[in-house]
Amino acid sequence: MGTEREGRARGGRLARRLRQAPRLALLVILALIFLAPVYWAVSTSLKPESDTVAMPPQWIPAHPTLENYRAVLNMPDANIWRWTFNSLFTATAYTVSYVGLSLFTAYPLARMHFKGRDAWFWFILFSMMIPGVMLLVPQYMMMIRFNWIDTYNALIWPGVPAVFGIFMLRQFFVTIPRDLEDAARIDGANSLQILRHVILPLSQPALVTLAVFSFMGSWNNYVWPLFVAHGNMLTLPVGITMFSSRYITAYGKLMAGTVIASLPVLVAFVFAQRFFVEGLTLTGLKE
Amino acid sequence: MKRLAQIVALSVAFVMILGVQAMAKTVTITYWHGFTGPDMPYMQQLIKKFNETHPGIVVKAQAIPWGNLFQQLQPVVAAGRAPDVVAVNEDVITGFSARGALTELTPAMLKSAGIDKSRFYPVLWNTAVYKGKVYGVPIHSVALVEYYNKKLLDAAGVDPTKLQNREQFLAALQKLTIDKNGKHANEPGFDPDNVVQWGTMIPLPWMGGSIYYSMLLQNGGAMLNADGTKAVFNSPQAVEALQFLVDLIYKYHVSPANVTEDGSIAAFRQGKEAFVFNGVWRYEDFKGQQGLDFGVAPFPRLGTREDAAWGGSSYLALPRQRSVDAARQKAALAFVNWMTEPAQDLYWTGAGSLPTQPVVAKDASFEGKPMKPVFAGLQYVHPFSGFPWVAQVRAALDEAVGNALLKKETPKSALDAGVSEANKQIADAMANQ
Amino acid sequence: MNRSGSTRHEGGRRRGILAPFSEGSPLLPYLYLLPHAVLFTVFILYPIGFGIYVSVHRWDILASHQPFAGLEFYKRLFDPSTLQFQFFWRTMLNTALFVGLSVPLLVFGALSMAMLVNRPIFGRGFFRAVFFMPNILAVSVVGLLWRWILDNQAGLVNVILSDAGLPKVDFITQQPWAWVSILVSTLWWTIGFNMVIYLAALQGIPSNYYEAADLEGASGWAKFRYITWPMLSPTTLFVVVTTVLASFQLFGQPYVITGGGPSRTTESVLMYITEEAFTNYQFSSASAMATLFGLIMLLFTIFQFRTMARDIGTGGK
Repeated sequence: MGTEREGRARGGRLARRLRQAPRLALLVILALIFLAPVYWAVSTSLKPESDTVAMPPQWIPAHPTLENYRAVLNMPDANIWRWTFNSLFTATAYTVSYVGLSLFTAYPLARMHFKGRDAWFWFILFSMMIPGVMLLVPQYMMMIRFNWIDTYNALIWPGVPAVFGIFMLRQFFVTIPRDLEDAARIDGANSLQILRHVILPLSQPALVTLAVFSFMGSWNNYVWPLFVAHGNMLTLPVGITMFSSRYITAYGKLMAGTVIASLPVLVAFVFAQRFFVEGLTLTGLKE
Repeated sequence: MKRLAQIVALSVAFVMILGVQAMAKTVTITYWHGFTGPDMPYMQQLIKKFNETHPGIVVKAQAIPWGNLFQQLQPVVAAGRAPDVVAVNEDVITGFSARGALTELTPAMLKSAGIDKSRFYPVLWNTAVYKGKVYGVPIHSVALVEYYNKKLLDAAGVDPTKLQNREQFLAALQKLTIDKNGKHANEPGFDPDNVVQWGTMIPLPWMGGSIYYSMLLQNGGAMLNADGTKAVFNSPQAVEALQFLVDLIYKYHVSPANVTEDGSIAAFRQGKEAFVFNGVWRYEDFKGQQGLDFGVAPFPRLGTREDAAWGGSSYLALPRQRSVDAARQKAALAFVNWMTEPAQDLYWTGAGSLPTQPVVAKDASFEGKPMKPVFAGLQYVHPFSGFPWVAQVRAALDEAVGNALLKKETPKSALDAGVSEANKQIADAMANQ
Repeated sequence: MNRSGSTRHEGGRRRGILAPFSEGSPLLPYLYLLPHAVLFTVFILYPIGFGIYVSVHRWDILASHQPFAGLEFYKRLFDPSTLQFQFFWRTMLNTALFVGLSVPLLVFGALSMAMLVNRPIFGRGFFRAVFFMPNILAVSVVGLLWRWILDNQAGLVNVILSDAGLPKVDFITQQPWAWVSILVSTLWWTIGFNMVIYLAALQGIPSNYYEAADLEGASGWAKFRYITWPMLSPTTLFVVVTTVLASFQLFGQPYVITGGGPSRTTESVLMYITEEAFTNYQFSSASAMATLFGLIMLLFTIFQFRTMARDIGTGGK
C-alpha cells in the first residue's frame, strides 16, 4: 500500500509500472505454470477421444469438437440440471449455516473470558484430528436411522459443526484491536451489538474467505454424497464421476464434466474475491 | 366449501389410486448396481424392458460406483434397509457371503425362478458358490485378452494365430521390437535405450498383477492352497513365471521398464506397441482410435503348461433382509432370472461384457466380429475368487509383482515377502470370521 | 491463553429479547456456544465415541454379538510381528515425510504469493483467481490430471523432455520422483487456499500501522518483520496447524497418481486405514489406528500451539 502511494507521489503511472515490472514478470510466470494443466484439461475436453493420445501432443485441438460436452449433458437418465440445483442449494444452505454457526461460536472463544473456554476449544479442536474415515460408517448408520437418506438434510447438516471455521474465525477475531471494542462498550453496546458493529465489519475478508471455502468444500464434497444421495439427489461433481466404469476413465468426457462442474464455483470465487478488497474499505481503516 | 369439496375429491382420487394399485398387486423392488460409465445405458435399457414386460413388478434401480456400493452394503443390511437385488463383483462376493450380507439362493429358490446353473460357464457360476451354497448369478464377465496391431505384425511377417507357445511368442516379440537404427531385439548391436517400437509393454500392477496371475495359472501354479488358508504363490512355478516376465524387460528387452498402464495403452493407440495385454473393456477405446488396425485374441500362452487368463465378473445377489417379504423375494428372483437369460445376456454383451453362457457365445450374430476369437478362450478364464480374503491376497501379490518388475527385489524374494504378508492377512481375516 | 480477548462483564443495557445476551450474565458465553455444541455432539462427538467403542471390541457390523476386545487392536500397533505394526508405522513415516516437505512450501509459498498479489498491480484479480482456481477441482480430477501429465511414457512432461533431447523421468514409479509428483500436484492444488487466508489477514492489518512506519522511514523488510509478520501470527498459527493436519490426512494424490507405489513408499497412513477398514473389513483395527492417529495429531498440535503460544497471546496488541 505504501508502494502505491510513493509511486503516485513521484507522479508517474509509467514509473509505477516500471517499479512493478519484476513483480509482474514473476506473477506472469507463476500464472503460466498454474494455468498449463488447466489449459491442457480444457483443451482435452474439446478433442475427440482419438486425439487425446496423439503424438506429438496437440496443444490446440486439431479437430475441435463439443462432442464430449454433448455426451455429458445428454447422458441418459443423468439429470445434470437437477444435480446442478442440488449442488447449488446444498452448498448455499451449508455455507449460510456453517458460517453463521462458526461466527457465533468463535466469537466468545476469541473475545470473552469464561470458565472452560480453553478446555472446550481444545476439545472441539481434537475432532479435526480424527480422520473422517472413522466417522463414515457411524454417520451413515445415523442417516439411515434418521430416515435422511436421499434428502438435503443428510447432505447439509452433518458437516455444519465442523471445527475448521470456528478455528479460523477465532484466529482472526483475536487480531482485532481491543480499543475499538472498548470504545463501543463505553458507548453502551452489548456483546451482540459489538459482534454486529465491530467484529463483523472488521472480519469481513475472513468471513468471505470462509464462505468461499465452505461453499467450495460442500460443492466438491465427494465421499459423503455418494453415501447418502443417489440418482436424482446426487450432486453435480459426484454425478459426473458416473462416466467412469470399473476399469475405464474416458479423459475427454471426464474433463468436459469437470469444466461444467467447476464453472459455477469459479464464478462464485471471482465474484467473492472482490470482497477481500472491498471488505477493507468498509471498515473505515483505509485512507 | 369449495376447498372442502376439493379436498374430498382429492382424497377419493387418492384412495382410488391406492386401490387400483392394491388390486394389481404391483411389487416394487430396489436394485443397486455399479454399472456406471458406458455400461449404464445398456443397464437402464434392460431394466426398462423388464418393467414393460412384467406388469406386476416395478424395478427401481440405482447406479452407485462399485467401491461405494460395497461400502454401503453392510451398513444397509445391518439397518434392515437393504435393496432387494444387488450386483457384486467376483473379488468381494465371497467376503459378503461369508459375513452374512447375502441371502443363500437355495436350490428350491433357483428352481422356482427357473435359474439353471448349467446354462453358465462353470467357472463363473462356481465363483458365487461358498461352502457349497449359491449366493449369486453371473451377469457380467470380462477377461484379460491380447490385442495386436495388424499393421506392425504384417510388416514383420508375424501371424498371431501361429504363436502356440512361449518360445514362438518371444521370437515374435523380439522381431517386433525395433531400435532407432532398425535393429531388432535379438540382433547384435541392438540399442535398448533408443527403441522406437516395442513388442509389448509389461505394465506395473494392478494390470501387471493380472498378467502375472494368468501366467501363474498357466504354469500350473496357484494363489492359495486347496482350502484357501495359505498363500502359495512363491512355488517354483510361480517364481518361474515372474522370472520370465522380468526377463521380457531386462533380458530380452522386448518391453520397457517402469511402464504404467496408461503408458502401455497410449503406446498401443499411437501404433508404437505390437501387442498389449489388457481387459476386453479396452476394445471400444481402441476401436475409436483413428488409423489403428487391430485384432483381439485370447491371452497367449506365456506360461509353460496350459491355457489360462485372468477374468473378472459380476453377480446378481439378494442381500440379507431383516424380515423376508415373500412377494418381493419372488419378484427379485424373477428379475435375476430374466436379467441372466440368454436374450438379455446377448444384449448386455453390447456393453462390453463377454457372454456368461456358452449358448450366447455361439450366437450367429457374433460371426466375423472382432471379439469372436476371444470366445474360444472363455473356458480358460479364471477369476481370482472363492475366499473371503481374495482382495488382501491380491494386494500382496501386486506388491510382490511390482517390486520384481521394478527390480527392487528378485522374483523369489519378492514373492516370498508377498506370501508372508498374504498369510498374515489371511490369519487376521480368519480371526474375524 | 488469550488475555487480550477477555471482556469485563460490565453491566450493559438490558433490552427486550436481547436480555439474555446482556453483559454481566455469566451464562452469556455459553449461550453463544450452545447451538454448535448440540450439533457437534450429535454429528461428530457421537460418531467419534462410536469409533472408540468399535476399537475396543471385535466389531462386525452384521454380527449380533460384538465381543469386548480391550486394547487388543491397540497392542497390535506396538507389536513388531504384526502387519498392522509394520504398515501403520511405515505409512505414518511416509506421511510424516510428506508433511515435512509440503508444509513449509505450502505456508511460506502461500504467504509470498499473498504478498505478491496483495498490493495493487496490473491484473491483480486475475492472478488471485488463477492461483486459487485449482482448488475448485475435486481431488480425483487433480490426481488423474497429474498422473496423465506426468506419465512415464505418454505424459506431456516426458514428451517435452524427450523433444528437448533430455532423458525421460519415471515420475510415477521411481523415487524420489514419485514424491516430487505428489508434492507438485499438492502445491498446485492447495497453495491458493492458504494464499487466500493470508490475503484476508493482510487486508485486516490497519493501514495506519504502515503509515506510521513510513513516517519513520522504515524499509520494506523492516515493515514486514515488525508489522506484517507479528500481525499475521495468529493467522500463521492457524495456517500451519490446518496445513499440518491436512497434510497428515494425505490420501487422494498418492491414491490416484502412484497408487501408493513404488513399493508402498508413497502409501499414506490414511490410505492404509481406509484399506484396513473397507478392503480388509477390519473395522476395529482401523478404528484403533484412527484413534491413535488422532492422538498423535493432538500431541503435535499442542506442540505447535506451545511453540507459537507467545504469538497468539499477543494477537490483539
